[in-house]
Amino acid sequence: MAVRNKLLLACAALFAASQASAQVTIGDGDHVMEITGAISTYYNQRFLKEGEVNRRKDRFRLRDAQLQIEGRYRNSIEYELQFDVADFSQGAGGAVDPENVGLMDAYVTFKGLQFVEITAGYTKLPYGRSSQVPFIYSPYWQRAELVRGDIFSRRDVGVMLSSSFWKQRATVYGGVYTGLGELSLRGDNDPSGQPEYLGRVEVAYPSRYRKRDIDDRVSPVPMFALGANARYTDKSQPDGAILPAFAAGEYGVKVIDGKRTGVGVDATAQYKGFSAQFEAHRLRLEPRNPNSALFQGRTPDQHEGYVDVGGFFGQLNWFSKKYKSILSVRYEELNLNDLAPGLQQRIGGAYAYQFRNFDCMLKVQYWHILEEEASIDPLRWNEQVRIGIQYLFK
Amino acid sequence: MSMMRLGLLALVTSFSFTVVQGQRPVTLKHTSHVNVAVNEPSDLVQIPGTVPPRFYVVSDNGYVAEMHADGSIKRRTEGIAFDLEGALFHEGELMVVDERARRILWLDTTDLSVKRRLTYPYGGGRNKGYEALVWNAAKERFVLLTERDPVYIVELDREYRVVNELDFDRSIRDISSATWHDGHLWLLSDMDRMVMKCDPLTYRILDSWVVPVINPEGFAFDGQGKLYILSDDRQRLYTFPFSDGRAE
Repeated sequence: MAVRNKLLLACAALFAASQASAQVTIGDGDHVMEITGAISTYYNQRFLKEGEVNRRKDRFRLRDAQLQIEGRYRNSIEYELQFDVADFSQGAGGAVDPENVGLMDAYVTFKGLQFVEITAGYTKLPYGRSSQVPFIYSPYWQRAELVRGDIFSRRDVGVMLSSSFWKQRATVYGGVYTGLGELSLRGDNDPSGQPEYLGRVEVAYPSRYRKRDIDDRVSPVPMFALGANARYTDKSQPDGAILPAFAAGEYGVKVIDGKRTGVGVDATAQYKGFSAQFEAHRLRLEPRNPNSALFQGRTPDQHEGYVDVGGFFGQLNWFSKKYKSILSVRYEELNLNDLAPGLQQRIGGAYAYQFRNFDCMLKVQYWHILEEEASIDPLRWNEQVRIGIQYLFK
Repeated sequence: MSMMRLGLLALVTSFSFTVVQGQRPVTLKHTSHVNVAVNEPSDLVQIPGTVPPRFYVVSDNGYVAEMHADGSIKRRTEGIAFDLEGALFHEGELMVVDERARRILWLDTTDLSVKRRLTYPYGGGRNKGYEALVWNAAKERFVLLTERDPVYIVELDREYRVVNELDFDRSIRDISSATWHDGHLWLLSDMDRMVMKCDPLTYRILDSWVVPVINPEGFAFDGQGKLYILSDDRQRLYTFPFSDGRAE
């Protein structure tokens, strides 16, 4: 079947599943609890390089089958439990897809103190703005490669303090976590027993800025938000010990035997339906072993004991209430190892048609590889299209 | 043609649609604003007979304040609810709406103590519950409105019993406040940033104005040609000249 016909068939099949509604809020005098969820399915089509024959990525996929329980006890406690049955069904024990981890949130926030909130449990880390924007409010089917969890973790178990002031326009976060990220759900810490420390500051003007990428309220005045964050961990392993399997992630940089320091900045703006985001991160890896594979076979004089990993992405979006549509374009650049030649560059875009706000959307995403860091992450494809539907029962 | 070129063509075509514009409602222009000492203010109602006007203001943080026109607080309650979103002063009674608990609370205006509470169960989203309460003089009914998904109208009789349930115009994404003025029901939308004048018998929208305010959550007419609109995110009270149902 021709590629175009396959895409049309996928679109028609997905469009058929969009017309139901359900939501539940229950409570008594002190406690209110809400149950919501999300289902999303897409069809993925890759355009392979010449000579490549493995088409296993041309397929339908159930991306989300989520259930979310959020609650509040008086004005002092909030909690959230969110999980994805589709991810659990993929089986446990192997590598973790950081964007589809199964358990998404399991935390309690204590709000009883006047100036600070305390969040304990497994949740999104206050590192990078994009990571904290709920995926259901995006026209894309995948976050930018830099921030989707293969370079640094997006979720972990730990404790976070946060405080907002200046009419909620400024917020400060500080937290301590296991440092193993999504892999922390498997139980023990690594043999070093060391945690990871994170901090973030964000400031918005002229009012607080919600964690959204799309200006669906069509802001009447320009709005801006800036953020800066840092993280540090020393996971140097005791002699003879090794990191847990799969801790290093897809590119071998997520958790390392050694020190890892990360810094990042982000900016977002919106006005009259247009919005833009920019985010950059840099990680300095200092492997304990001078012969670490991260040094790419360079001598100590050449690598000077560290490796830099990082990149940036920028995104432009337009929301039209009249056409119930979101258009977005994105450019990404990623250097997986500054000692290895080349870097990865991608350009892409997304279109979403809102049948019923974000609750029921047809989403189409397109990727085009401009350049790849072939020595570290060789790709079999040049272009990719993903089309599907997202339905939220909330 | 490569997929990249096709993608670019689609983008250019889609953006070109923006030049097509229909008839748009008039955008209001404010003449002044004051900062409000109530954090996360979500609705206000003028205290009848006060000149300059004083208001009862409700907060997302579950308290009620009596506020001067300059935004300063005269007195306030402690937290009495989860999330107060609507307020109504009717026949000497102050009523406020707790969105998350699905409750109406009656307050004693002498000391702002809670003297009565009633729950109106609603299964919609936690933060999509009752957002506004208004007295519909034409039908002699109280009207409770849900915020969104969908905007839903619940009519109560004088004894506060539910007597009717209706859908509101589905083209409006949300309702953040409601008030009675000039023989009509007036509604405010936060997401659509719009003030709407509605037929009190049919709830059909008769006219509308765009509000150039971030996160408008409450509004009130003073009967002297002024419209007050409250911004939650900016904690500001804006004043607009507005008389006889026409923006000046």
